[in-house]
Amino acid sequence: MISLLLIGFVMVALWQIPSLVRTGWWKEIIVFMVLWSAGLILSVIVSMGIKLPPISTIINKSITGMFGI
Amino acid sequence: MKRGQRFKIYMVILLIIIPVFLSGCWDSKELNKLSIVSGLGWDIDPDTGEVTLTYQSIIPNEIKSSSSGSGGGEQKGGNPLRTIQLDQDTGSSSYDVLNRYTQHGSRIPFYQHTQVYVFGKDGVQRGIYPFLDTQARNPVARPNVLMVVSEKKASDILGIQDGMENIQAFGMASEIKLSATFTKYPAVTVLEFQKRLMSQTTAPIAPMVGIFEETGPEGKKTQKIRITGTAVFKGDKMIGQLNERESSGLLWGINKIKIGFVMLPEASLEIVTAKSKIVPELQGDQIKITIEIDEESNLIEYKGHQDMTSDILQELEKDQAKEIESQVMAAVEKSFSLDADVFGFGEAVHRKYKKEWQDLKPRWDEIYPDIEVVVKVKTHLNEIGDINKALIKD
Amino acid sequence: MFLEKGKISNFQLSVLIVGFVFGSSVIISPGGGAGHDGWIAVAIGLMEGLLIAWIFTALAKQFKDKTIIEINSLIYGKILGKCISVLFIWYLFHLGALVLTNYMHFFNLQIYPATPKTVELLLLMLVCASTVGRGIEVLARLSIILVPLTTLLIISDTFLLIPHIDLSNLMPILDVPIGKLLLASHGAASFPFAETAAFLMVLAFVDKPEKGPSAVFRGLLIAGFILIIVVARNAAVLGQMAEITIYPTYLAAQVIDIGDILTRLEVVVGINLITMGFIKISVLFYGTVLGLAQILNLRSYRPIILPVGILMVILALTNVGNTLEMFEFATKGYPVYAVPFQIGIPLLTLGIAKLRKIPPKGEGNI
Repeated sequence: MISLLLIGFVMVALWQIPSLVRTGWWKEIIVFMVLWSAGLILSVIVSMGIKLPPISTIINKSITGMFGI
Repeated sequence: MKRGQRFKIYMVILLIIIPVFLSGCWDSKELNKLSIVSGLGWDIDPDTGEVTLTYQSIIPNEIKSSSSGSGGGEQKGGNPLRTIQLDQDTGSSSYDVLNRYTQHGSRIPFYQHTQVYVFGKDGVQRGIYPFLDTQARNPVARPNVLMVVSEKKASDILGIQDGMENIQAFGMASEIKLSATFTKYPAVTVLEFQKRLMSQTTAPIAPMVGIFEETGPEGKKTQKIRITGTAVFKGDKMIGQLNERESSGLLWGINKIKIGFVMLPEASLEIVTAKSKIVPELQGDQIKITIEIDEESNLIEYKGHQDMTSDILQELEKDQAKEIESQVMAAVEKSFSLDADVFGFGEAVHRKYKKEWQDLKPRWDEIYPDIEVVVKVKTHLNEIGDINKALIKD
Repeated sequence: MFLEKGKISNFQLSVLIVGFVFGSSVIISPGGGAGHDGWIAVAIGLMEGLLIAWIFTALAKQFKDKTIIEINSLIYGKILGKCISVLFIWYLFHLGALVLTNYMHFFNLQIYPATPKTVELLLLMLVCASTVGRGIEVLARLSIILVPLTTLLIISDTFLLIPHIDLSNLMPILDVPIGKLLLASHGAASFPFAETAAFLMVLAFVDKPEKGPSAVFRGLLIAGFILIIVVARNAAVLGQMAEITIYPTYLAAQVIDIGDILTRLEVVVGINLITMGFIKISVLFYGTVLGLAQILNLRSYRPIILPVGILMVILALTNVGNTLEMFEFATKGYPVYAVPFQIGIPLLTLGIAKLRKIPPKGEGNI
């Protein structure tokens, strides 16, 4: 699973990076790498089975808690 | 490589990969690994509460050979073809049993073509709620499947090779739908059953079937399936039934009359169109329901030896109205004695008297038998057929 | 506007809006909680949605070529503006993930129980990414094909259900206590009508900005009207089952059975979800990526499409624990949660813009 993930992410990077490097858009590369790493780390965490916080549920609970609907 | 060429190569690769996924993705099911279940039968043991599930599945090869050759479902020797296969499992609850198909089959059951759910009478009197829940919750189950209650055991019903249809459950389903069209017994789909159940005041109904033995031409006994009545439920338990006359009356009351006949002692009439409406009225504490029926019919059999006159026609219309009225009232009386609102009077009151319904609804079981019901029938005889004078004159 | 060179016509805008509103509503009927008066809730919600649309289209009209991001920076100053923009972008991103979650739960329940959810979502995301990468014009042109087709399918479904429609199921009218009805109406407004606030990222690219608002209204009215009919039809066919089923449109479609030939048409409902879901997700995706690029002053939004898409899929997968939570959020938390984004930000921004008289009359863009 993780190897598939890694392959996928590397492919994504390979898709974008060369064109960015060629045109010298450094800012975009940085943003890309940040997002890319976030995606990579999160996917690895999810595929390892560690549960990420369910965001919508958390929002729901705080709102119903606050307003008591 | 130029950009355009690279693009084309990617496209080709994509076009090759994508169709692989189009055949249902991970969920593709091969036909020869499926057992197509045409009917499902539920028997609940009254003592232990154990559920016995009977699957009627189609054997695909047999269907092909019978339709090409004999057309009657019979081979040369007069033996019925085995087009269906029965399997049974027993378990402690409905889904427990559904899970055991691997004990008897080499194939995965496929429920998308199931025509009927048959319930053994014993089980139904105990209550079929777990089944209803599974049915509603399970995405595979379809809302159009017909609900049927059997006099004896569901497993017996599903085993009978009968009639002109190759696949018994399909035949039974057609038979039920036909009887509904002829205004004899209702055909109830799962969805209709669920709607009645959810109404909390309306009683769910389902047609009942039984097995009859007939002696064929060479003295050979065959078993056939007949529809024998209408089962009346309270919640998920069956509490009683309507006979043929009462079932017709019920259909008249709930506006489910299509084709059919009104049989009078002196004549038979064929129904052309018919409409009925339930009109509730609240007079203080007393609920009065008027069932208004509008009917048009043709004369198809006249037993008297007289020529047709408009007087006779009027007589027939009056008698017709009386007959329909008595059928409906028979159903009404039976429903009173069972304290089951099969007509949906409650919902009719609800629609018209929103506010009062809040008080009436919780007491509906008490109030129901005290409802005053009046049936007003308007009949019209259109055609008298091809002759207007009698064949034999007195 | 170097990030987006395309322009869309007003007609395309209307069609896009219809597709967007259909979005996930072809599957999850709006107006839940109002029982068989759901269609009334949708009608009232439509009016509320139109009101909200009036607000944000006025804002867009005031600042003709600018997306909400740029407007925020103008009004609140660079730093505060960007903060508010981040919030708005988060809303678009989250909403996109929510639609994906809806999509995923539906397909996993009814049609593809065995397929891994990741695969379904990634496939859809790839298509959206490819479309978004080509700009808003392409999306608009695609919707011109997909939306009328879907509308046709929805209408024919309705016709095919006529034999099963029992109007008495809709009676008595206004049976539901007013409080519940209004709550459900607001719910219908937040999902799906007022979500068109997302178009604050798209309205900048309309070729005739003065006619923009009427295009939005037209789209909302058409989609709203059809949704009202669909919700009423579902209730008429399914009776009280419509209230307990999570996907009433799908169940209603299963009932269609004409002459034993036209059956199993519920797949059409699935197809509708694929196409309309695609449009809605693409619009939200587009808004997210474009907005992010504008906030960070990137030269193009294309590089960040794929990572953002993957993150959206991840959010969609982890958003909720199960279908019940998704449903609860949609009916309870979301109508409150969405208000600051759908109404708050546009209203506030519009108010300040009018007060401070930005942009000064008679001048063009800054």
